[in-house]
Amino acid sequence: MNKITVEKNKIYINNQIKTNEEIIIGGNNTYQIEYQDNQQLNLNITIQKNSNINLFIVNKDQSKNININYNISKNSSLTINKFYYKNELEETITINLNEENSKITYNFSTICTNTQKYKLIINHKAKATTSIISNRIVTVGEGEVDFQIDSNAKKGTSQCKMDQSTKIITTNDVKSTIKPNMFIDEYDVEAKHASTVGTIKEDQLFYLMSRGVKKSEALKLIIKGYLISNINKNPFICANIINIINKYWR
Amino acid sequence: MLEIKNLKVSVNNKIILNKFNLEIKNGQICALMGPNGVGKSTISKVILGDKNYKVLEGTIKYNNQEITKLPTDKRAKLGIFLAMQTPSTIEGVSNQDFLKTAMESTFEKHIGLYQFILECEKAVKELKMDPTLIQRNLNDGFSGGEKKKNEILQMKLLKPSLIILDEIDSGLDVDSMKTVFTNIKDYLEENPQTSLLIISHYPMIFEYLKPDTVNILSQGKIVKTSDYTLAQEIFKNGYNKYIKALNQEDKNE
Repeated sequence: MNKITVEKNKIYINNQIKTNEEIIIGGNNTYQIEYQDNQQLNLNITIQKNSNINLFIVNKDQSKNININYNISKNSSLTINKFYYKNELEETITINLNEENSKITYNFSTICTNTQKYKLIINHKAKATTSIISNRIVTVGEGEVDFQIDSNAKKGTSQCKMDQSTKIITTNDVKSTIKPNMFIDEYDVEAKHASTVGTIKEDQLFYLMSRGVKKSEALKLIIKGYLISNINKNPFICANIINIINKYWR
Repeated sequence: MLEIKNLKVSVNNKIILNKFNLEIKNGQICALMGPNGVGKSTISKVILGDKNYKVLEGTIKYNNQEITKLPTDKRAKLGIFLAMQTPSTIEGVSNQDFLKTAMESTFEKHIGLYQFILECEKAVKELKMDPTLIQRNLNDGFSGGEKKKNEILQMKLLKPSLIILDEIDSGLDVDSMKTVFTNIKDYLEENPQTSLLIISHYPMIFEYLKPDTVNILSQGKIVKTSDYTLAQEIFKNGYNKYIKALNQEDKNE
């Protein structure tokens, strides 16, 4: 697997340093991205034509401000599987589906322990573009999430498909919000969205406990399933999630 | 032995059970019958300590141990098992992970993967289940019948001493019913001290698992207890007689 490291605002691709903030990738490739020790992170990632790219992103560092633009070209598909375990954070992700038949699949899971603000913008700029967005968030301790997601389809972007699903499970008494928006200026668009904020379902807990599983173990099973099932199986990400879950729900 | 005495239970400030008494001896098969909405499923969940139900008065004892305030998992570890009417679906939790965790929690010991697979495969075969259901997420996308078989699979692996079947026959086709009832019957034969509480509306289950006592529940309490002939009478004439008698009793009071 190729590796991209963004450390102290410098970009390394397979350990080779890059001089600017733009990463251009193509072909059929898989990359693992890690952020380390960045105060403010700005990145532009462009996916070339006729490409099929998988990105696995893990962020455990203390970056407080993240801005990333993804530009996806004609007949290209980008799949992002991303796991965050972080404290305070403000992140803006813009995904531009610039040309026909470009596609984004975005699977994001996070355990939130502090104030986090996310803005995810998906711009359908051409015909037959597709966005499939799935966010799964768990808040613990002082964790508080404000999640805004905007899917935009301009006039003329016919045959677009947009699907956004965002769920927050709160295990604390702190308020979290989701602001799901779809701005569509075209008749020929297939759109669906789902957003929920809530606690762990009591009936699920009861079911597991009625089989002898103690409450902490039951919570762990439910949260592990909720976060991991959202992300395509990747041993590196799964191991990270399990370690963190084991820390919180002993 | 299960002993429930003078139980009063509410949910959302509404009294569901009142002056409820029930005793099930070791090795006994007990049927609980009654019209819809009288609290039959409530009692099954109260026995397991579902927090949605508030016990206001009374006691529940299992093998002489007071369990009224025990958490659900502790009651399960004592050997009480509830096969639920509508088992929960849990996204991302594989049936296999869940079963192994449940077995390790119940028996309080590590279970080797090989031993688990052997036991699981045997039970799956006996229940004529699709083996791929073990790898799938817990009850996710299972048909009604598959969910019920999965409940009995858990029963076979967790080896309880009191089994509560809450409408286990709903959602099962005739062939699946036979398979499920035969499995329960075989389990009882292998474990003759195991007690069974059956909540059902249908006669077929009683042909396989003939109850020693039949109890009619109405307005939150047992209004009639008898032997199997009572079930036969209910299948023939319905519950009206017992509901009317109770209403008359209330008027007289």
